[in-house]
Amino acid sequence: MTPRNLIRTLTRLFDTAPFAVAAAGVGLVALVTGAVTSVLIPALESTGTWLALAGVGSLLLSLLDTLRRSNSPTARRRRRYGLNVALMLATFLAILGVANFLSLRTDVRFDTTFSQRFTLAEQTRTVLDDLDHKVEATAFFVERFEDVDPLQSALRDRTESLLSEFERIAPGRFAYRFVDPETDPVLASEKGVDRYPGVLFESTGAGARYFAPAASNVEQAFLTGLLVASGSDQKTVYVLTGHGELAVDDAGVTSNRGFALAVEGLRNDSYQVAPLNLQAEEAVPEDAAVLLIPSPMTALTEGEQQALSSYLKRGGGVLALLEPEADDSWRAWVLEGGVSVGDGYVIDSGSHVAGTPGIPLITPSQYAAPYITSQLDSTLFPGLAPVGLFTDPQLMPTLVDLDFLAATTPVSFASAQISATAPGNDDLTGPFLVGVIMRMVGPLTEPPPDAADANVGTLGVFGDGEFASNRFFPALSNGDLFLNVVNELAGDVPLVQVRAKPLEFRALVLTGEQLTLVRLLGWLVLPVLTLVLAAVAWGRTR
Amino acid sequence: MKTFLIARREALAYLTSPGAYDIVFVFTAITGYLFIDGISRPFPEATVNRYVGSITFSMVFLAPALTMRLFAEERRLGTLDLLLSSPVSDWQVVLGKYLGVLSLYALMLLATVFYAALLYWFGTPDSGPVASAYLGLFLYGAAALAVGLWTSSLTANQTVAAILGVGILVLLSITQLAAPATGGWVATVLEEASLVTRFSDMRQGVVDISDVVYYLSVITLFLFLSVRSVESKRWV
Repeated sequence: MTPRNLIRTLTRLFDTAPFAVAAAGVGLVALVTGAVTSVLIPALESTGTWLALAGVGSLLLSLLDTLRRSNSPTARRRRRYGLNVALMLATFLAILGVANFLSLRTDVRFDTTFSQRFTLAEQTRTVLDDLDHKVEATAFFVERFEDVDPLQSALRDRTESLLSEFERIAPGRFAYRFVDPETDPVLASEKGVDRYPGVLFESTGAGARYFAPAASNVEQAFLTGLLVASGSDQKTVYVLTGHGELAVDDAGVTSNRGFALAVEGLRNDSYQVAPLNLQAEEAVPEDAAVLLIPSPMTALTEGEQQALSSYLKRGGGVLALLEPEADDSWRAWVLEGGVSVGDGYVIDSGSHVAGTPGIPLITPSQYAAPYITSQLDSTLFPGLAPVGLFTDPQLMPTLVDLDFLAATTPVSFASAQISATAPGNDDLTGPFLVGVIMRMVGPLTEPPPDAADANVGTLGVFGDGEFASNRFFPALSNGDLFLNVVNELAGDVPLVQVRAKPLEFRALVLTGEQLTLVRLLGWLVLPVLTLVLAAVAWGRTR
Repeated sequence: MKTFLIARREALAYLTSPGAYDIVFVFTAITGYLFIDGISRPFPEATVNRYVGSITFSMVFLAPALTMRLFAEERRLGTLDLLLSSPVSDWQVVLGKYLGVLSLYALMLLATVFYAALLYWFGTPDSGPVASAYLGLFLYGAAALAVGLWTSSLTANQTVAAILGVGILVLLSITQLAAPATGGWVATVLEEASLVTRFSDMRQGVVDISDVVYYLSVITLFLFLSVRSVESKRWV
C-alpha cells in the first residue's frame, strides 16, 4: 500500500481531510517515538524530547487544519460537542486517577492462600516500619535451574513476592534486585557470594551485611537479614554447660541429648547463641537476653546458684528445662522462684502419644497463655516431671505475675515408673502443669526490694528438657513452643507467625495412566464440545 | 431492562454464530495445550497458575476478535442508525452490548473450570489462589473487552477495529517492561499501568483492592469512551 493509498483509506475511515490525517499520523508517531526514546535511552534524551515536541506540533497543525476546513454550522456544532467531550474526559480521567492513587495508598489486601504465605508477620512489618538505614537486597538466583526445577521456580516466586512486599511497606528505605550469578559472575564475586539461591542484605548506612539462603522458610531468613543489615542489635541467648545439659554441638537428628536443632531455631529467630559455663565465669554476662538451662543432670554449686539468682534480680530471663532425673539442687533453686518440680514421671491416660501414656500429648485445648500458644498445634513431652506452684501465689510477696503454659488432663498422675498404667497409693494425681512462667522481683526467701531497686526477672520452668532435644524439637509444635517461650523471656513478640510459613508446594502426583487420561481429557473435551456446538449453530443458521 | 434486552440479544447472537465458536475453539485449544504442558513437566504442581497466564495472553488477541463486530458491523450494515434512533440511551446501547460479550467471556471462563476440576480430581490445589486467579481473569478479560468495544465503536471496518484493539492491549500489557529503564514516578506509573502486573498478585492468591480499582477504572474509562464515540454519531 502506497502512502497516498494509506492516507486515502484513513481519510475514508475517519472522515477527515487528507492533510489532517497525515499530520496527525506523523505527529502521533513522532510523539510516541520521541517519548519512548527520551525515557528509555538517556543518551538520546534531548533528541527524543525535540522529536516529541515536533510530534505535538504536527498534531496541532492537524487540529488547526481540521478547524480551518470546517466552518459550517454543523462543524461548529461538532467542535462544541468535541470540546464538551474533552472536558468530560479530562474530569473523568481526573476522578479515575484520584481513585487509583488513593487505592494504591491504602493497604487493603486479602491473602487467600491456605498458609497465608503472602501475609507478612507483624514482627516483620514492625522491623520494616522501624528501618533507620536504607537496606538493599540482591537476590542471587540461577535462571537455568528454574527451568528444570519447579521448586526453584516456586522459591524464586516466593522470594520475589516477599521482597516486593518489603519494598511496598518500606518505600525508599528498602530496595531489591535479582541477579543471575551465571550471567553476572563479577557481581557475585565482588559481593563474596558463592552459594545460590540466596539474598544478600546490605546497608550502606549501618555498614552491615547478611546473606540469607533462600531455603524453605524464606520470611524468617529474610527477617534476620533485615535485622542484621539494618544494624539492629542481635540479642544473645546463653546456654548453660557443665552439668550434663543437652549438647549444643550435638547435631544428630535422632539424638535425645542433642540441642543443635534448638540452637539453629534460635539463630533463625535472629538471636546470637553462645555457651556459658558458670564454673569458669563468675556471673551471667551483662548482654544475656536469656539464659537457657537445658536438661541439667549434675548438681548446681552454691556459687552458680548465687550467679543465677543475681542474674534474675538484675531483671534477666532464665528458662530451666528440668527432667525428672535432674539433681535435687536444681529443684531447690527453682523452688526459690515459687515453682515446684515433683518427683516421678507424669503418666497421662487422658492424652498421650499412641500406646505410651508416659509421653503426655498436650492438645491445643490444654494450653493457657494464648499470647504464646494460640497458633500452636499439639506438643509432646517424653518423660515429664510434674510441675506446680510451691504455694498460693498470694503468699509469694515477690511475685509480680505468672502464666501457666499448659496442663495435663485431670486423669494424669505422677509415678516413679514411666511404664505405670495406674496410680499407686502414694502417687500424686493431676492435673499438673507442664510449664510455667514466673515474673518476680526476687526469690521467695527474701523480702521484696524497694520499688526503686526492683527489677522484674522472668523464670520459665518446664518439667521436661527432652521435648526440645534434636529428636523431639521438630515433632508437632514442640519447636515453636520452645522458641515462643524464649521470645517471651527475651521480651520479643512470639515469632510463630514468621516460623510457621514454610514454602508450600502441592505436588500433582500422577501415574502414567492418569497422566494419559488427563492429557486426553484436557486436549479433547472442551475443543470437541466447542466444535459440536459450532456445528449445531451452523446447522441452525442454515 | 432495555440494557439487559440488548445484552440478551447480543449474547444470543454470539451463541448462534459459528464465528464466535471459532474464537471459543481457539481459546479452549490454547488453554488446554498449556494446561497439559504444565502438568507434563517434571514434578508438576497442582495449581492453575500456569494456564491462567496463558489465558491473559490469548485474551490480548481474542478480546478484540470477540468485540470487533459489536459496533463496526452495525455501522457497516447501517443498522447502528436504527439502533440509535430507537428509544434507548447511548449508555444502554453500550452497556447492553458490553454485557452481552461479557456473558460469553464468562461462559468461556466457566468452561476452563474443567481444568481446575481435573486438578482437584488428582491433587489438592489451594482453593484460595484458584478463586482469586479466576477473579483476576474475569477482571482482566472484562477490561480487555471494554478496550475492544471502544475500538469497535471507532470504525466501520472490523479488521481495523480488531488491530487497533490488539495494539492498545499489547501496549497496556508491556508498559512494565519499560519501567526498569526509567526511574521515579515514571517507573511507578509504567509499572502500575500494566494489565499484566496488576494480574500477577491475583494469580498467586492475593487480592489487592488497588488492583480491583485499576481494572474497574479501565473498564469504566473505555465504556465512557465508547459512549462518547457512539454519541458522536449524532453530531452530524
